[in-house]
Amino acid sequence: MNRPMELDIWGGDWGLPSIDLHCLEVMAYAKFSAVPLQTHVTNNPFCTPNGSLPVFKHGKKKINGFSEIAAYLREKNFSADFGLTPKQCAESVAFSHLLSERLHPALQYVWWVDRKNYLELSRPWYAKSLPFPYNYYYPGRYERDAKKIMETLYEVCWDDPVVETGVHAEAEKCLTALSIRLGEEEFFFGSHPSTLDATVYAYLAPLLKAPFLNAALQNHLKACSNLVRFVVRISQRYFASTLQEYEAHKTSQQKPKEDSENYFPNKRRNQFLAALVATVAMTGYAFSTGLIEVSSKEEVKMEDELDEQIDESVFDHSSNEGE
Amino acid sequence: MGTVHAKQSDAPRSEKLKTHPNPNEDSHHRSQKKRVTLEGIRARVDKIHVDGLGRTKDDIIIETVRELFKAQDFQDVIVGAHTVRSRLEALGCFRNIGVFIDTSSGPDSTPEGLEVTFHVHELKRIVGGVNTLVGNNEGSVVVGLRMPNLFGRGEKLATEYSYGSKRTTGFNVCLSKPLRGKMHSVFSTSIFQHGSEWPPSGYKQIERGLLFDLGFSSAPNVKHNLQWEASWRDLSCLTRSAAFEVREQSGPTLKSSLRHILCVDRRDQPIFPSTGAYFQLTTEFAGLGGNVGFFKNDLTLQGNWPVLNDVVLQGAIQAGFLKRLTNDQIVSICDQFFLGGPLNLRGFDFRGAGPHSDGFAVGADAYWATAVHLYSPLPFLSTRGAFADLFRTHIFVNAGNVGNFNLGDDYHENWKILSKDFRMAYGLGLALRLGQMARVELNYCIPVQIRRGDQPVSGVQFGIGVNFL
Amino acid sequence: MPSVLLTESLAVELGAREPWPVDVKLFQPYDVEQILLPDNANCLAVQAYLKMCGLHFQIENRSNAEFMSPSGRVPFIKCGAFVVSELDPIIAFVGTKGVSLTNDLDNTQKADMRAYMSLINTVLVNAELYVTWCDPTTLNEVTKPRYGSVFPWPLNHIQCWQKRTQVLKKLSILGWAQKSLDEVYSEIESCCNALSQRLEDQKYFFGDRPTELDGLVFGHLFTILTTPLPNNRFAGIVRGYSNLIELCKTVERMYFDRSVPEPST
Repeated sequence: MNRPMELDIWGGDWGLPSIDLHCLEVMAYAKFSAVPLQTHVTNNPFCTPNGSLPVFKHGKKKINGFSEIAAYLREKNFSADFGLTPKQCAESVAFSHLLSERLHPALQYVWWVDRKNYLELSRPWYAKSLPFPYNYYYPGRYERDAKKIMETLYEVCWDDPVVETGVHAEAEKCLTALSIRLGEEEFFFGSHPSTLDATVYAYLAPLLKAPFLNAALQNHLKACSNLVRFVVRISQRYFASTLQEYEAHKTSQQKPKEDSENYFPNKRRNQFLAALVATVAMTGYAFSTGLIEVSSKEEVKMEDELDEQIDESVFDHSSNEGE
Repeated sequence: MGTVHAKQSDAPRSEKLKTHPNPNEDSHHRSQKKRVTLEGIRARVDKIHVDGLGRTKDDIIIETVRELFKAQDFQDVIVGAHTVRSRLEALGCFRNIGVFIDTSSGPDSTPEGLEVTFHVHELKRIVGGVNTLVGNNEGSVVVGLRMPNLFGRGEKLATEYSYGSKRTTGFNVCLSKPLRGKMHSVFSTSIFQHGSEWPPSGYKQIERGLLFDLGFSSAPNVKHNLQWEASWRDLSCLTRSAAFEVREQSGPTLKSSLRHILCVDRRDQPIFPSTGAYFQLTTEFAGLGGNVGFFKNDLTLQGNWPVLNDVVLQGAIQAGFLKRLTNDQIVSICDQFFLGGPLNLRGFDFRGAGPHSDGFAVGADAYWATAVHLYSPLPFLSTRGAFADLFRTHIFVNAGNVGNFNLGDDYHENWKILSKDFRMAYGLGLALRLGQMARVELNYCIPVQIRRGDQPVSGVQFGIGVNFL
Repeated sequence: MPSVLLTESLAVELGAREPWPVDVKLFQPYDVEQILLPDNANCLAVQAYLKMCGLHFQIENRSNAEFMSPSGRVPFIKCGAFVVSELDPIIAFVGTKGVSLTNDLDNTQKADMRAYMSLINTVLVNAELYVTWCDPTTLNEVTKPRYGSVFPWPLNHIQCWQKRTQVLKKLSILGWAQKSLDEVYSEIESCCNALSQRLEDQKYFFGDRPTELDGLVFGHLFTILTTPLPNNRFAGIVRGYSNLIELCKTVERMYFDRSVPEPST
């Protein structure tokens, strides 16, 4: 078949070709095995066979999931692992399971369960990228899924502190093990990247690059300098264009910002005036409708209600204890 | 001829009426100031009207009011009308029941004939409520829904659902049906789930089950409940540090038990009685299926004697005994007896007396506790208002013991075993009545007999509950 | 897994290394009539590990062991006042007593070992759960009667159903519930293959001395080989790897010589 191989993916940001683990894994693997792959940023997992990205398309064939795609590519004689000994293949399998057992829950936690990251980073990012109306559905669904993972793995509620510490401890151990295994080598198995390198890159790159607000795990990763160098190495060698675009974009964004600040010479004065007008209008409205009076009455009312509630609760408590 | 309007609220007791006919009604009736014995006036009930019936079935109303036709004189009519009224009330289908008695008129009327009219208001089909509840270190919202008089014969479906701040859910669905007959028996079925936490013992449990209950009274004030309960209890440790003895108990158990509750209440009021006695005996036999087996008795006895004006002496005793049946049937920690806390043994922490393991109460097979109180109204308050009636001061001595006693046939020996290492505390305090059900106590306690492992509270202790010793 | 934290905090708490007490008990379900394949594998792995460390312990069978365990999973050990469940936390706990099987390994080998243990935990454990709870024949013929054997009617059905829901939930978030039985077998195949490649023809995974990886592999493979199931393909796959079988035999001979503490065949 001479039809092009295509891949539908989540978009990239922060110098990454995609911010999604699974998309990145396939993309890196394709680069390593020199597959001529066309990527399309769809940012829409709705019309896919399994309801998730990436989707690999070759002619009429549509495949979902890394191991299936890798198997298909191997069939087409594309593989990053041709140079590995059986023992190295075994090790590759073992380490990829280490990542999925220990690091995957942590990434889910950092992206979706951690309140700050979810509200300030993950939800806005996905809400912005997804087309309407999916942007109202998917972020919440991913959050629920991640919480379900936490609850199933730890058998306590997701907001239990046990979950956070447990997940982080496991992930840190995993990162340390990876760092030790990699040592000062270029890639995990010598000077050529393999499947394992694709997987590790996919796990680590978003964790390293995304601007997390709660960055405990990110900081641990940054402390493992050989892993950081590993990620940068792959980004520079295989995704150089994305990286350059991002750098260029960043610098170009910074410049107009300065311009825009200069564009309005009386910014402070205008801000002050706007605030003043708003305050006056609001206060005037409050007085005109008697809002202030009403609110003070309500306070008293509230107290009464509270008293009643307390009475009630005391009574109920008693009947509970009497059993 | 005027009408006699039976007093709507606070129905006088029938015995009182018999001995002291209400002079008020009397004078009304004859419009004379002279005393008249109602027994002398011959009367016959010709007709009974019940106004305001909607979905309530006729047969059950006829059965309830039929007795009134047997009245021979006017006294009988009034007393009978009251009884019928209270029985209508007990059906739980109506609110505001009014009674009117008039002479009968019309073609079928007899000379001494009367017509009795009951004005009733049926309850709404669905009554609901939402309230908040604080207890067991958890706040929860309780949604209740009642459907009184479901099929027109006093059947009632009550459901309650609670959702707690710690994500515990509980519910109770109860369908009850009054049965016909002299015993005033009520049959009810409930399905329930409720979770509870017991920090002093370090465990929590979720109990789900099915309960059939037949309640009846064999004599006035003597109530029986015959129950069969199947409950699935899921015990788990509350914290990681819970004692191993408690940890060993965790896991699900299934209890299927028969229970008989006998309750005789001859007190004048439940919370601050001034006279009368109270007796309750619960007998439970578990082991009809399931993997829990025991035979359990629990007894409560209370006596009240007025000493001086408004000063009441109260003596109470509680005792319980659990017997294990076979070795392969489990007795769980939640079936056992505990002692201590403001509700039974003041001066000790909740479950603070008796066997402990690593600081967690593990319970025992038998216990007894006894208390003597001297209650008096608030001092320096000469006015006897409704407010002052909410309070009592008391001084008390309570003692008790809990353990796995090995009792024989020798009473002296048994007494020695039971009284060995008993716990005792005395003190004084203030009690407050909450409604007609519960009470709050604030006591200053001085424990005098403490054993190793106990958790005494010397000083101020606060208690809230329904059944106080 | 949350118990990792417990043991880690304990490690600090213990500080001064108390010696291994004599009355350590290992709690597990009744192995003749109750225990299921995944639990049995985990219990055997812990037993093997403790025996490899030369630590003395007694096995206590409790029908409610699963509920007694702080993590809800068996086995767990009671050592003095401490209750520690599952292999990883137990390894960490034993480490606080100054006992370790990995002192001779360098850091890369330790990382390797971690990875292979993850491989077993993600593949073999889930495959065992899958076969036990998702394969209809095994579920009805083996799992339900055994799991329900300690509960009275109708609790046996309720508990089975509850446990199955819980396991299915776990498998589905890990992406296993959607797999077909053949896919599961191919996963087992590739896992065994990886293990076999790593072992080559050494006595143990890291030379002449056993490590916790050997204990874990023994626990799982031995249980898979000796547990009678209606469908024997699981054991059949493992039998195809002679060096893994050899490892199981070695561990059995060295550490479970006189009494094999489980129903062999």
